[in-house]
Amino acid sequence: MLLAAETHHLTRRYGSVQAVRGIDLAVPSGSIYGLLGPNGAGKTTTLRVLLGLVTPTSGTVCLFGDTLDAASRSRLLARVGALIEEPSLYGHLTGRQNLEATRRLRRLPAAAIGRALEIAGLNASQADRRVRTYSQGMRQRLGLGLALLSQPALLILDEPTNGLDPNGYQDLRDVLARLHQEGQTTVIVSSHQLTEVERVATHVGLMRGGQLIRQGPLTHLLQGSTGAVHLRVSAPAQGASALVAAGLGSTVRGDELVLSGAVSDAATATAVRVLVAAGVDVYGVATQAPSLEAVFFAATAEADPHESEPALS
Amino acid sequence: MRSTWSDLSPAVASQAVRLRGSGVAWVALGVPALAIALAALVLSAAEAPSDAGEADAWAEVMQAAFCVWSLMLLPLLTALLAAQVAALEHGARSWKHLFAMPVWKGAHVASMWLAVAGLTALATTALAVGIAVVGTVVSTLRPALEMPAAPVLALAQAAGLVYVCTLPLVGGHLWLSIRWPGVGVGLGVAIAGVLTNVVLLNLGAGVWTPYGLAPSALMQGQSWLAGIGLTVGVAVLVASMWHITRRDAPG
Repeated sequence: MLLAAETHHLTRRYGSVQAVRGIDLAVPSGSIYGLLGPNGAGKTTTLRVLLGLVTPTSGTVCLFGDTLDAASRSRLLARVGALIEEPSLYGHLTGRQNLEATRRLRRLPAAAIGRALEIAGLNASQADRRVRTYSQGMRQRLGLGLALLSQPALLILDEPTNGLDPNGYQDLRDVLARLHQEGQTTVIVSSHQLTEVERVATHVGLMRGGQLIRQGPLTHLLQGSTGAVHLRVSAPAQGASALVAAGLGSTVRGDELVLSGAVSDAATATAVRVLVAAGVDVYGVATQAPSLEAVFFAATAEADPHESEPALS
Repeated sequence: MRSTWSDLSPAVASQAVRLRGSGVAWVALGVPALAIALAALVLSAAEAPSDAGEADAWAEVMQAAFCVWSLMLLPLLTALLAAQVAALEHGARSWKHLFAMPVWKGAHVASMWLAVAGLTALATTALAVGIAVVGTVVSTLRPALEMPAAPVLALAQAAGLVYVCTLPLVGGHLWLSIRWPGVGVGLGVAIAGVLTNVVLLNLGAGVWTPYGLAPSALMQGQSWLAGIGLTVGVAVLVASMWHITRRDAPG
């Protein structure tokens, strides 16, 4: 399998904080790879390392099969476009001038600007307005246009849905789907919004606490999941402790306990009995179809059954 | 070094676009206007020469304007311009965008240095031209001053000397402004430097500070200090590029 991006035992430490802990990322060429996890999971640091913005404490990064280092940096980054966190736009310049500044840096032909404006969905009048007058959605679309200006072989998007309205989500999904169909561009998209990414990703890496806890083709990950069982209870924390004592992993979500992984009917019945015996009232039991969210919670529970649910949306 | 200096051209071309409409050129032209106004004031108050040995009005006005310029206005202007050029990237949070480009990171620093150095040159040229124009106008209005034609060569020499001696400040303040966003740190350092320099100049040691190089060269006629200015200016630029490119992207 050809890999567009890969890391080997990648670690990055900020003082005493280990932001990324020995991850081995493998992003197949032509895929849309969703790098998912709660805030603080290490997604942005990982992407910054892939772009050479942050130096790894240890480990290596390879793009298109070549190690990213000082000697190969410019050659490899010429094939990479990126939108990291919010778009980097100059408010005093027009949209077209923002594109022009990047076009000159990348030594691209003038025609690249028209193509980028088309991707960004900006007409001539909007393109000639100062960016400080743009809405958040327009800024995000222009940022995407900037990232795609060079028709990169690898597109790295960090939380690209931030600030987008539902139409913006749809537009972004359409662009990513088109890139995937054309097959020329590999996309790495990070997000804490699992359901959004689930709709476009072909491959997924799940991060938590700086570690890559699972990765692979989305279909494979979903096949390995049997969904989740949600138990609405009177005392979730107490119930979670009782379940742990009985050898059942769960995560707390508000007033619910979520049993994830391969949850059989017998396991569900056992969980209810354990909760009732522990004095926790069970108000309702609901099953959830397999989803990326369920995969994530199952992987998290396996990694640490004592952890409560991370902040995901 | 293959992808180093060849990256300077696109970096400068991009920098030129980013500076459009940012207002830095107006700052570069506005600050010398203060020194030119001082020159006009000096000339309007000047008395007609009483004997042949007395210094002419041109010398008087050049000394007043260039002293204020090199001692105070130019260091503050350099700090302000460096802060403004760096603020374009801090404000847009675009360091990560710039440093992810297939361009040597040092080329971005060098292009910013060229922008600040170019704007400083524009300001110094504007000062020299402004003094010449004001002097010519005043000599027409007040023939009693017996002012000869504008001493273009002397003006150019003074402007050039002051400019080259200021190059260490260009690199130093650009580095400060890249490391610390906002005008506060750069201007604070410049104000402290100017005040310290006034004290040191009175003690005869002003030449040993970057803020004292230009006024010392001008007031004591030590044009060899231009060589020091150029050498230290280039060294500070190289050190800034070395430091910034080895760090994680700012912001």
